[in-house]
Amino acid sequence: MDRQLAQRNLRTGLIFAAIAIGVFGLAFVVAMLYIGN
Amino acid sequence: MSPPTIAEARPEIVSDGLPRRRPAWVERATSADHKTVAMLFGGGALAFGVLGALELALMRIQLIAPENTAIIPETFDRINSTFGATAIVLFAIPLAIAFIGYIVPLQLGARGVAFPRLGLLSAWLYLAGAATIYGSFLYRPSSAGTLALPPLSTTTFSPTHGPDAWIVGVGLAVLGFVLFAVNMLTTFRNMRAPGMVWRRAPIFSWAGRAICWILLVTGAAMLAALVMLMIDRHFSGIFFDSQQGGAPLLYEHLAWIFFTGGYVIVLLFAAGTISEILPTLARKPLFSHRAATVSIAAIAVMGVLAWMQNMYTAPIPEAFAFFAMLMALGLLIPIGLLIVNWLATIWRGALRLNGASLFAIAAISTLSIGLAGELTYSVIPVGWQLDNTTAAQADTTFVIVGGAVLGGFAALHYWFPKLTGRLMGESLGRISLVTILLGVHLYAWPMFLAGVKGQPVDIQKFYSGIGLSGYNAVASVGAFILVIGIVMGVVNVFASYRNGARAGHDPWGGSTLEWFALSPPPPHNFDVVPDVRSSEPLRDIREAIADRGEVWPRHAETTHEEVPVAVAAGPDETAETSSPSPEPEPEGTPAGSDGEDSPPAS
Repeated sequence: MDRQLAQRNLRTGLIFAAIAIGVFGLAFVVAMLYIGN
Repeated sequence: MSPPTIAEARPEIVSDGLPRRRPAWVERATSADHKTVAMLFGGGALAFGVLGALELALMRIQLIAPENTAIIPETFDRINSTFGATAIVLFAIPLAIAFIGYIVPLQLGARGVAFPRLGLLSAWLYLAGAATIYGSFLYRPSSAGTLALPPLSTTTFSPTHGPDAWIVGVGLAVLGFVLFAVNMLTTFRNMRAPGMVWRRAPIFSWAGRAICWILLVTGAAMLAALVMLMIDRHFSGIFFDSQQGGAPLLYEHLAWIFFTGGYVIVLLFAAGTISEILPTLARKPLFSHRAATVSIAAIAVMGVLAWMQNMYTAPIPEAFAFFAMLMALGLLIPIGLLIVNWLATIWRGALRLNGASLFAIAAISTLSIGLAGELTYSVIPVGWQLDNTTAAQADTTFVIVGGAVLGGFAALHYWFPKLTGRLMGESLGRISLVTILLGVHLYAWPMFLAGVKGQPVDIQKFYSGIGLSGYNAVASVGAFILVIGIVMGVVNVFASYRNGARAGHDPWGGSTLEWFALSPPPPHNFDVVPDVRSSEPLRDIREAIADRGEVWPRHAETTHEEVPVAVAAGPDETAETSSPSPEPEPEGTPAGSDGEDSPPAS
């Protein structure tokens, strides 16, 4: 795999990982709102 | 273009000796090749599919007669709790993942996946999760039900470490699924062959992409739910403790988002598989490629958004219930479109009836029954009556058996030659198909009728004289037949792996790129990556070769050298002349610049 493609993969992978972490965090935010009500 | 010649001599690296080859099982367990990783997922899925079927048989032994005392309530609850996790988390989802992980990179013309080691880690996380769940049988497994809903799964009602094993086991497996999704979504985006723009991607790859998005989003939500539950159990958390202001309903939402996602994954996996099998074996292109892709995307979004359809009897706002009903009923449109698409594809085609197509047709019919039941169940007054009864369970059984079991065996019959270089046994395949069909109908229809009469799910016993004995007796016999059919199918897999007839690399005359690779494919998948110019790239290549007066060696047991040489001169000609409905890119415009993602030029 060439270096350019590897870097592109890393960037893309990090974006998808960030989406998953965002959903994970969002569930906690929703939980706080849910419990707050 | 002149035919390729032998490469010029190059300097060779001389070493003292080759490293000693490791045992085969070590190679398989540690290889980061996406195909070997997929085999780990697939082997695990088949093993846990059989285990889950045996657990179902055990529960049906208990329910074969009223007031039976064969299995005590505690043991029944433990089997039931493990069965729920096994059926979806350890069998159905990994089975879909196995085929996506193996076939999709080949279909996209990729030489591998974006993060091979992450792929291997995802498989081992899944297997570690499964080992954790089943390891709890050494002391005391969870008895907190199929979803481990609080308050039943809190330390007040489940003070043992059984639910901890369930939470950690399911959590590890789901983390593996999320990492798999990150890996595959990156592969989809960056690793496609030149010219493989989205509109040309095979339907199974589209389904795989939708499945990975579902895993990414719903898996992350489930992980959050499991972390919160663990905090509640061991770190004095109050997320789901209603006594201290927590909300048990929140866990139910998050768990149902994931398990509804699992249900949709089963559906999409079967849809993608059927959409590959029928056109290939009917020797016709799919009636509408675009309609199929739109349908798959719509099913993925609307299916997951309908998660509250499972919560009609929970205290959720009315508007939420109506939203769920709208999403669930709306699914009728894309699912109907898909079925019409399949029927139009085989209409007046010469459908070749073999194990793959017969399992695919059986999957369509079984799924249709289950989905029809789900549609009626999604109407609020009906769902209200049938929620948590065996009628709702029967609908789900039809979909899981139709999608994961029949769809899974259809996929195995179709792609087994690619995975192993051998054909699946037809006779045993057909016998297992008939047995599974007989079993699922004998099992699920009486359960449906018992549910309409009010039999709740997950009960350990029922009493005589309330009109449920006959239904349960027949359902138990049906479940035993179903289990026998599944075991026969799995036996067929192993028997064919050893003794199946040699298949060659393109036994069905497929149009997608996985049939371009050798069977089984080499570690780098393709010696030459073709330039894709239509949604049927292999047909283009075959026609280009035929135009040259040569023959595509689809049945031959070709060596690594023969196939690439046969097509090496193809791509340039293919790009210009061979596609029956070419979709040339405008001059100077990179592939996919019409708003679609372009694969890298490499």
